[in-house]
Order: sequence, then structure tokens, then C-alpha cells
Amino acid sequence: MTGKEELGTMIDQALKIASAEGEAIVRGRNVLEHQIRISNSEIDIFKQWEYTVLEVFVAIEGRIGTTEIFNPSPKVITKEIGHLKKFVKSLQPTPLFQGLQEDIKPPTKVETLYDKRIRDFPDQAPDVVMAALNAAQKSGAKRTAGSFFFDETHVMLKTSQGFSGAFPESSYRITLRSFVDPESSGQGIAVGRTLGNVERTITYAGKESGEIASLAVDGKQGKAGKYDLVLHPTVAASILGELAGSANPLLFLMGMSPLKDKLGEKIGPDLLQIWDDGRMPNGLGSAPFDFEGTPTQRSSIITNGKLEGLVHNASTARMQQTKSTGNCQLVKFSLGTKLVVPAPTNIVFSKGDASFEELLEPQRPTIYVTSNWYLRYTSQLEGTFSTIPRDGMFLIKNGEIGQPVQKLRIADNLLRMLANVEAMGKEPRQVRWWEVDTPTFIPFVRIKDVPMTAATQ
Amino acid sequence: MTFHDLVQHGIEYGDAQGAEYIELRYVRYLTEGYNTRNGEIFAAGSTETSGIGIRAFANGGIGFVSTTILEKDAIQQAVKTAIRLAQSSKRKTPLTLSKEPVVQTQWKVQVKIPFVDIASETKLNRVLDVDKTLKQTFDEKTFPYRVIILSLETQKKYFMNNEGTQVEADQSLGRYAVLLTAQGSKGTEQRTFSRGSTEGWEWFESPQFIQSIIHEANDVKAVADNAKNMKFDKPIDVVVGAEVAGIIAHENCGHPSEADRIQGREGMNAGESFWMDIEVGKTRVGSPAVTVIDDPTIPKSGGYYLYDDEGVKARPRYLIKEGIANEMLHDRLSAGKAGVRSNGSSRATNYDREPIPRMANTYIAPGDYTFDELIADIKFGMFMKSFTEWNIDDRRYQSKYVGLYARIIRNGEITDEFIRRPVLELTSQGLFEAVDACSKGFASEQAICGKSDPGQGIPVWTAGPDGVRMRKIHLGGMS
Repeated sequence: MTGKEELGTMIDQALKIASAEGEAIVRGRNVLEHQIRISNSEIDIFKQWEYTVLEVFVAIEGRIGTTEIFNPSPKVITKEIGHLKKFVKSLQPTPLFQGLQEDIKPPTKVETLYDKRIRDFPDQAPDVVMAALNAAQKSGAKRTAGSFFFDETHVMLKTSQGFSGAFPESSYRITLRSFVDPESSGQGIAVGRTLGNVERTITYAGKESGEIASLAVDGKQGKAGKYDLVLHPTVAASILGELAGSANPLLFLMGMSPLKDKLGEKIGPDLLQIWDDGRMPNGLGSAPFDFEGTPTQRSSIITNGKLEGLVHNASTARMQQTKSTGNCQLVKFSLGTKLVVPAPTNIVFSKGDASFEELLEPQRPTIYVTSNWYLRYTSQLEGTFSTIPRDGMFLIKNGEIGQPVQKLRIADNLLRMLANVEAMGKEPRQVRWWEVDTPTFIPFVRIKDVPMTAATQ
Repeated sequence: MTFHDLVQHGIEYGDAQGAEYIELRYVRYLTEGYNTRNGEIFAAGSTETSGIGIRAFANGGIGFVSTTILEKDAIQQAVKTAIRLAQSSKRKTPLTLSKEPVVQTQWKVQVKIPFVDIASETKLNRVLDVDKTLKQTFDEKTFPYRVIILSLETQKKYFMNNEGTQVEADQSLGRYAVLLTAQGSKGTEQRTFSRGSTEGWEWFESPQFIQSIIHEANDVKAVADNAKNMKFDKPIDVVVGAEVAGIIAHENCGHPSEADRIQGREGMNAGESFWMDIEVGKTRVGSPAVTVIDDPTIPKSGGYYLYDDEGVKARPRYLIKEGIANEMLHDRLSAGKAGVRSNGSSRATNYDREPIPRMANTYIAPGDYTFDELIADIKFGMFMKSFTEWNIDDRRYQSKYVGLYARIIRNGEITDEFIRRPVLELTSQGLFEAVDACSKGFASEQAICGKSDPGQGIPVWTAGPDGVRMRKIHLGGMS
């Protein structure tokens, strides 16, 4: 791994060349990442990625471009940034770029970003995984599959506007999926930044996956119709987090958000408070500053059910005569292309006052959904979509988890589901897994009148 | 050292370190993207990466390490780490690979005009030309959002393992995707479509490039202007076009036939498969009219290759043959577990990803009918040419396809009545069993198939006849 001093020297060299004719950002990252993949309760493969990369953004007279330089050296940096500048000059100006952040401020202090013990964790990780698999088995799992990532990254960023900052970060995330039989499964996830309680959280994920799988045995074909749904945080993060994440001016410009033209409107019940919070302790999306060097902050998206704000970088903020919210990120868009655009950090939902048991109290026919995947749209502009519950799904009877049901699909509209939120649980969890890219802090949620469909033949 | 020498050295070093099996895969990957929104560029980029992925088997486990440092010491370190990671897996059931012939060969995509020979201004202008033509062809308010994405990729690969196999490959793929939002008299409709070919820049110079986009735009406009909600109390006959047939072949047959899913290896992510419950080679999963093939060897196709990423020769795979589940998609790992031979389905997106069983170009085989003959035999039904929303459960059994361009068929003719967002919500078996005939025509869509964690979005074709007829379908959804 490249040393901190050497990385700084390379970034200085890259920034000097990149900004000679305009504005530039150079971010260096030293990354050491591991993954353990599991199926049939055994480790299938243990992987390691270790690399140093410079991510370079260049703007010359309104023309912009990005590149990545892996394994950088002075010679390679000169060559690759030379290519990038030539490429950028051949393009046309883009109206989406309105200049980088000029207002340089000190980075935000973020708690719980890094744990140096992650360096030695590869030696312990297989045993920690085995402990979680044992917990799943004790809860009734016959076999368990999973994916366990843990990583350490040292980030250094400098901009042509004078920002310079660095920070180390570490994280882990595990998803475990237990099966009692092919149609009776349950999922548990655990994510965090530090290793203090890693064994406990991962073991709990194993236990939860086994418990849900056991409860799901003998599931029956569900009946299509309208139900109240109690959503596990994993599902709530996928559906409601998707809507909160579309409070983004970039998506408005592309016709990919149902929140366009809704700013200032009441779109949900009073109990809904949603923020983007790049300072969230233990948040996998937290950082002291964004890709332009703007300090991260907590920004209101929905307050008392009203759409109050959007995430911004310096460019979109200028377009809308406001200030950056510290949400500038380098986002992969298409092959060879990364965008320097606003994107959420951690989406945070306020907790409510309902216990899990209270959420299950019967009002109308109710289903408890523990996991979902494949959220796809008929219209992103409208928010018309469907998604498929997977793993245990249960009818609620007399306020308790009852008959497991299968093979139903949630087919609704994101705006309608948000408006129909009835109650929020007391205990938020951080969700980040294969189906939820943006780390989302959210409790159990109850939503009324959700259409559920089933195959016709 | 050249990449050939480095790979060779890594193999020899891995052998000396006691790896039961070791492979090194060098990949140099050049990608370019040009993206416009409403006629203005909003992003472009060009990135070149190169590195070596190392997969080592030791003590019955597997370790995988990738490195971008193409130096002897770094390769040795990476090989050592891969072996150590494999050993630390402490497996009770040792993993092994199927036995395959040793080959030393090369293959490459035939390219007339390499992407690197074309100036970036020219590439961007081609995208802008598409938008200009859309603006000239349609009223300005028809498409308030137009996003066009042009993607070019060139790969050099060199694979070697300690069994003696060496395969060198040069690939080239150009593709585009278009997201259109149409504002019509009946509301807004959104449509994303994509085409691609394993060729060079010559593919983008063909007149069909822009014509096909205008044709698609016409379809979306027609839907936004004309489509009406309709309800049917009784089942109706349905003919789906090649685009819908292609996604059905991919989702309802291709994915469930992936052997790693059937063996549980994707249990966490992409899920398992209803093919776990059937007997491949015997169980009927569709009518005799249904044959589904996955064939990487189709020249110029989006999923084209001649040797896979484990050095196994590619061939067509008959996944469903006349309605009977016939063959799974195997890499050497799944084949080893099943005690069979690989059928060359192993693919990895780059040097930093492990190879796993993937589709290439999956299609429902064309039949003997003309398209008109399929329609002529329908008294009342629906022709569904394209789709928007789709999803399927993780056992690949409960699927949903929401129609976009869909028109009523009456008395053997397609009428001007457009149905708004009809829903095919069917089980894989229910869907394939309802097929009674396929047309002779054939068309393909370029797609990126997602699988695994970390994700590996890999280019494929989804394809099929221009008409697949299904009898007595209950349309789904809720009013």
C-alpha cells in the first residue's frame, strides 16, 4: 500500500497538471478490502483487493471529464492526466457544471469512522463467520449462505480551490441468508465501522436469519389484495429509502424522480422526518467532507411530512441559488464515466414510538415483510413500481406473527406508500446490503393499504 | 516483464508454493462513455485499467486476489496471499474443478474500425446527432427528457492455469442505451432500450443506428398518445415480440439454469432456482414449442466469446429442448461439484472479479410460422411488443412483465387499440406451458446482466422470434 506521504506527493503532482488550465479535484485512496462468500454453511471463497487509485476530475472552460489512475507513478500520472485534458478539450461545455466549491471550510468531525484493528481482522474473520453460521444453525437453519465484506481505506483529497483533507475509514457489512428448505428462508444483516462488537452483531444476524427461516416453514400461496404491511427495516430502507434518495436535482433533470415539482409540498404524515446525514456516527456513508471538500452536514429532506430539501453539490446549488449540502460524490454512471454530482450519504429516518408488538396490532388484514429485492419501475417520474418480498413473509393474527405466506408482490407507488405510513418503530437499524446501496437508518414501519399481487397462472 | 511473462511467473510461483490449482487472468480494459441529456453533454469519460486476477485452490478452499501492480514481486505476494486465504477457509467439503482439455489458443472479435482510431469529438457528435434527429422528427414537447448513453469497451485478456491452458483474447463491444420520457395526450410513458454489437466503430456508422432509435421513439409516442386502461374478465391469447421473448428467455430460463444457483452458491445474492426441484433432462417445464438456447458463439452478438474465462471452449447450450429442461450453465467449479464437464459458461467482468457461470446470448428458438400466421389464428388477444417494469423472484419462478407497446388483436389482425400497461404476471412454468407457436423472425436486445456480490454486470443479448404466441393468459396486476 502506498504511504501517506507518497500519496500526498502524487496528489500534488496530479493536481498541478490537472488544474493548469482550469479547475480540478484529485482524490487518492489506499484500499485494502476483503470478502468471504459463504454457501451451504461453508466458506466458498476468500478474496482480497488491495490497490491505490487516484480519481481525477478536470474542468476546462465548462468542459468536464474524469479518470482513474490505478497504481500511480509520476510517469503514469503525467501521461494519464495529459490524455484526460486532451479528451476534455475535445468535448463541449456542460450546463450541469457550474464551478467547484469556492467556500473552503474545515472538515466536519465525524465519530466512529476508523478502527485500526481491521488490519489484522482477516486472520479472525473465518472464525467470526463460523460463529454466525453456528448461531443460524441453532436457530433452526439447515444451511446458510452469506457475504461478508470488511475494508480499510485511507482517503486524501485536494482541490484546485485550495481544499486539502485526509481521513482513514474502516467498515464491515455482512448479509446472511438461512434456509430450512428451498422455500423457507430468512435474512439477517449487520453493518458497522468498528470491530468492538462485530462478533455480537454478526452472530445476531445469523440468529435472526435462522429464526425467520424457521418461522417461514410451510408457507402458503398468499392471496392477492390490499393489506397493511409491517416492513422490516431492510424492506423499509429499500422502498422508502429509494424515495428519499430521489430528492436529488440530478434525477429531476433526467425525469427519474417522482419528487420533481413537489418541493415545499406535504407528501407524507406529520410523523415523517427524513434527513441526509453525512456525519452519522457509525454510518457507512459518513465522511468529514465530500468530493469537493465541502464539510458534510445533516440536511432535512422531509420535515413533518413536507418535502423540505434536496441534496446538493456546488453546481446544483448554484443552479438553484442555494448552498451545497456537502453531498458531492463521484458516482459511476456508465462505462468509463463517473459523474461529479449530488448523491445521498446516509439516509436517516426519525424513530417513532411504536414497539414491534404495537406495529403488529391488527387494524386491517396485515402482512409482515422481512426482505425484498428487485425494485423496478414502470415510471420513475411517477414512482410506479413493484418489488418482490423474499424470505419469510407472514400474516398477522391477533397481533402476532402467524401463517407464513409466499409468492406475493408489492405493486404500488412510492408517493402513495409514503403518504400511507401509519407508524414507525422505536429502534432504527442501519441497512446496507446488495439491494440497498445508500446506508439507511430506519426502524420497522407500518404502511396501510398496499396492493399485493400474485401470479395468475 | 511483459504480461505474458508475469502470468507465467505467477503460475510457476503458485506451483512452487503448493497451490493445488492456480490460474492468472490478465485484463487490460479500455472503457469510454459519452452521455447526453436533451441534446447537451452531461458526462463523458475514458478509463483504462489493467491488472491480474489470481484464483488459487489449497486445502479444499479457494482464495482470490487481484493486483494492479504488474511487477514480479507484487505477483508473488498476491499468489502467496491467495493461497493463504484459500487455506484459511477450513472447508469440510473440498472444492474441485471439472477436468477439461488443455488448450493453447487465441481468439478475437473482428473489428474494421477500432474505437481508438476515432476522435472523441466524432464519438460525441454521433450521440448528439441522435438527439438532433429526435428533435427534428418530433414536436419539442413530445420527449421532455431524452438521455442517450454511448458505451465503448475494448478488452485484452490473457488466461493461464497450472494445467497448461493458455488463452489470449481481444474483445470489442459498442453499445448504446436510450431513456425516453414521452408526453402524450393520454399521459407520460418512459422507455429504456439498448442495442449493441461486438464490432468496432463501423457499427455506429450504419444508417440503422439512428433509424432504429427513431422507430422506438415513434412507438413510445404512440403509447403515450393512445394507450387506454382495459380490463379483461377472461383469459386472452397473447403474442409477445422479440424484446419480451428475450427477457423471458433470460429471466425465466437462463437464470434458473445457472448451476451455481442450483447448487446454492448464489443463495445470498442472486438467489437459488426452481430448477433445484426438477430433474434436468427429464422434467417438462414448457410446451413442445419451447426451445431456449444460450449461445456465446454468435458472431457480432453482445455476449460473444469463443473461450470462456476458465479457458473452456464455448458452445451453444440447449437449456430447454422442446419443453424439457435440458442443460444447466456450468463453469468448472459447478461442473466439478456435479461430476460433469463445463459447457464454457464461465465469465468475469474484469481482472478483479472471480469467474462464475453466466449467460451469453439467450433466446427462444424461432419456429416455423410467419408473424402474420401467428396473429391470423387469434380471434381476440394482445400483441405485446415491448416492456417497461419487470422483476422475478429469487427462485426465478414468479415473474412480472409490464407491457409498453401493446395492441389489441381482433379477428386475426392487430388493431389501432393500445392497451395501457398490461401485466403478464406468470410463473415460469405457466408461461412456457402456454406457448403454442413461435415465428421465424429473430431480433436481439443488448442488455447488461447483473449477478453476484460484488456485482458483475456483464454484456449479453436477450433475443427471440418476433412473435411468441401464448394461449389463454390471465392478465395480472390490480385495478
